[in-house]
Amino acid sequence: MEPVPGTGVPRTGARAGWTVRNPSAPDRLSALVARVSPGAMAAERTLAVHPGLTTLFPEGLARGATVLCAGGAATSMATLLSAGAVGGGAWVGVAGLPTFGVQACREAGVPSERVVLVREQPTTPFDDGTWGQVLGALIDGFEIVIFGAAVSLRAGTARRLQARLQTRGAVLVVVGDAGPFACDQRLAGVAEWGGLGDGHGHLATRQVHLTLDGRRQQRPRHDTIWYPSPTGAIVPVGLVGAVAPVDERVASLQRTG
Amino acid sequence: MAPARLVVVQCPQWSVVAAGCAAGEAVAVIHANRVVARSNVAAAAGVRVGQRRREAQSRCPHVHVVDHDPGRDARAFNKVVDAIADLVPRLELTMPGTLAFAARGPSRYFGGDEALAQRIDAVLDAVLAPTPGQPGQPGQPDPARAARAMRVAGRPGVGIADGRFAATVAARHASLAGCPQVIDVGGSASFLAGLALRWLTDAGGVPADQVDLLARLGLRCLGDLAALAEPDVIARFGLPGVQARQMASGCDDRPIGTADPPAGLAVVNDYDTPVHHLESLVFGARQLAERLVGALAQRGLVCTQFAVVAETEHGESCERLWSMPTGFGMNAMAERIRWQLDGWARGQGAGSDADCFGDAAGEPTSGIIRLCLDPTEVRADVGVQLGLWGGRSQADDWAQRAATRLAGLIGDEQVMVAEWCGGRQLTDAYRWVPAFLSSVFDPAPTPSRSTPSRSTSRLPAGLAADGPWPGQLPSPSPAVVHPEPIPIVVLDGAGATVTVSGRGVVSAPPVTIMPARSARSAMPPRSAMPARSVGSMVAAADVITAWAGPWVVDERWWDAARHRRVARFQFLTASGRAYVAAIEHQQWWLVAEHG
Repeated sequence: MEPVPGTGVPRTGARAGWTVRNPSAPDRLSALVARVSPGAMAAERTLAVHPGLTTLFPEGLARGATVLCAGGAATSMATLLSAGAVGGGAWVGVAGLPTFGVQACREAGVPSERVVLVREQPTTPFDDGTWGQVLGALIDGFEIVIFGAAVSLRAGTARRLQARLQTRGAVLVVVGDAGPFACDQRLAGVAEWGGLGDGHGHLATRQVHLTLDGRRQQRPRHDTIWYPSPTGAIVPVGLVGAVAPVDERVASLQRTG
Repeated sequence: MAPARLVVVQCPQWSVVAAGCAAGEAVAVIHANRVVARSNVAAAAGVRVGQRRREAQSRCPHVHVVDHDPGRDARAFNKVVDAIADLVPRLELTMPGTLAFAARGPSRYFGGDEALAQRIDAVLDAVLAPTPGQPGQPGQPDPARAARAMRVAGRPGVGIADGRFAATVAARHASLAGCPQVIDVGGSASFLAGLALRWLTDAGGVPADQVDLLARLGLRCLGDLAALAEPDVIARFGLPGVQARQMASGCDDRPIGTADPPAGLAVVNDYDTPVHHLESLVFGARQLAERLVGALAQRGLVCTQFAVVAETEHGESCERLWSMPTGFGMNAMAERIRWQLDGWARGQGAGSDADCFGDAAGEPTSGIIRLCLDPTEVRADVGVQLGLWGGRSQADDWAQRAATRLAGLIGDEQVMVAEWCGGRQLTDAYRWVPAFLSSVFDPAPTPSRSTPSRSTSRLPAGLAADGPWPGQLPSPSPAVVHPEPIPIVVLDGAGATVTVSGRGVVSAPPVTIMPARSARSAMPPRSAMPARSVGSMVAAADVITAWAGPWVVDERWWDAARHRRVARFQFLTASGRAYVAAIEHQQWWLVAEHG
């Protein structure tokens, strides 16, 4: 078995037709250091994003921003937006989304133990004042807040919350309708499913055509990502040939000595 | 060299006394969802230090929960400190509720250790339980509050012994016995020898897991640990073990590794005009603390004990020693200075709320002209190594604080975390449990939570979470899962409802999916979720372009009450939406949605 250059580890999972990119050891280490560093400082005004979204968010997710997720895959995209930051130690607060799916959240790379959900009782929905307090507490404590009931907020509350967001450096991801929030960026997706036939197969792959529009952006950015790809990865469609799935690169343990 | 002889005064459960509760009231002081102190009544009902709030409330439903406030504790404790400072100079404070001082000088002055202990005890009695006939005695704080202290949380104890740990243990014993405990010179080791190992945690601050390890290795009491040879202990347990052994043998003088500081580190602030306002003084003190910590850090040191000396224009001065075995950071140092100055500014007058110097009845009579921080004990700053994986970060603390605050705001049951419990249905695999019940925010998290590979302790017996669960829908999982399924109608090309036979055969290919305007109540009533949840409803009739199914699940057929027989489908519609639907008892339900 030929060793992977720079690591001395035998290459195991290189499939035919895949060009396995082997970052050298220092590269891997520096990537790892960036991942395990204890949270980004407030001075570094961005949060990391999932590798699948780097073409749309090359600088990462700006702290203090409000991002609207709309379109067919809104909840999935909101989860994916938080995945990168959670990898760096952030917590996610979810409010106004009683239907939040945990399993999908795990599949997007967000461990469910880092997610705290605020759920109103169906009989007593929160009013504007309560939402203001709840979101205020969430913004104070969580670096990513996913909110799905923006329409029940008044404009004044939304303004106050966004000011708080700026101070605290959290990111508010609004799902569905922006309501009174002035969104800095708008991420719209159109999903295209594969794998389901006429009475056979199952939903297996999805390509999401994403459009990112922002107030500080001259023109919208477009990208299409696999979410998930046939191998289960979440990657930009253009990169699918270049990057092997993560588990394929893990070398098996070998007995030594 | 023999360890210094120390007097330790300890007021048990001081936070409860400082909170000012009535005698006979069950009170628990809570910090980060855990009980840090409880009153005697609460203790009798089963409330223990370290319990979760909810647990304490279930043991004792009428318990009065008070938030932890170290500043309040320190202010209240200042009365005790002031009273003892009249007898003894240079008191050393670690936390509100505990103070220590060297016995050597005062003991000779008052005529022996026994006499000194009696004297201190009498002063404590006078401060904490004044006789009702003399309310106006000088040095008496709020008498009503003080009178309660004994009944609320037990008697303060005075212990004199060689070594800090032995004196602390003696003070605990004194608190239980009701009279001061004086251990003879050189008698600390024999006093400690018969005591249980858990005293190391209770009075010495040794981590519980280390004490547990010692116990599992067959050491029964402190004498066993003291009898081990020091080289053996250092070989097996390292420095923490040596420290525990020193405590157990009654010869711990100061924390291991600490030394007298190099000269010339004291920082002094001389004010040209007397400062009267507490806030401006504390602000200046903060800068002093910053200077001191910076100067120590340059030499690679951290301060474990320092003296704060404040002098007024009229020559009065207030000196206290503050100690912390883990070393002071700038904030901790500034906080201690604040406690001391705050207490002094309020004076010994009857609990005045003055925050200006010179306003209160007793000392001080004018503004502060000099503030001095003098480190008295330092050690090499080896730093605190935070865990690379799995340690607690600041984000974790923030999140925990926010969750606690939210629970207070909207109710415990509405702040949830997900817990894996296994199952074939989408709504079964995870369930939302209230955050206060879960172990997410525990300092020692159990790794098994929400990890599919291990079983969860909370599951009912006989329900294995880590089963393979054949019959689960394959990934990707839907991002929108309805906690309560929504009734829908699925029609075939001829406009008839699609059915699934007992053998799992579909009557006709499904063509249209539409919301059930009038859901037939064939099923037990299920409340539909509010319509405004995102992407939730099948808004109007939609054409199915691709579908698969039925995947039949026949669950718990042996249990008539919980038996479920469900056929699941995946639908892809012309509008590009993907649904997971199920038919049960000939009624279609929208279970989830790939949103």
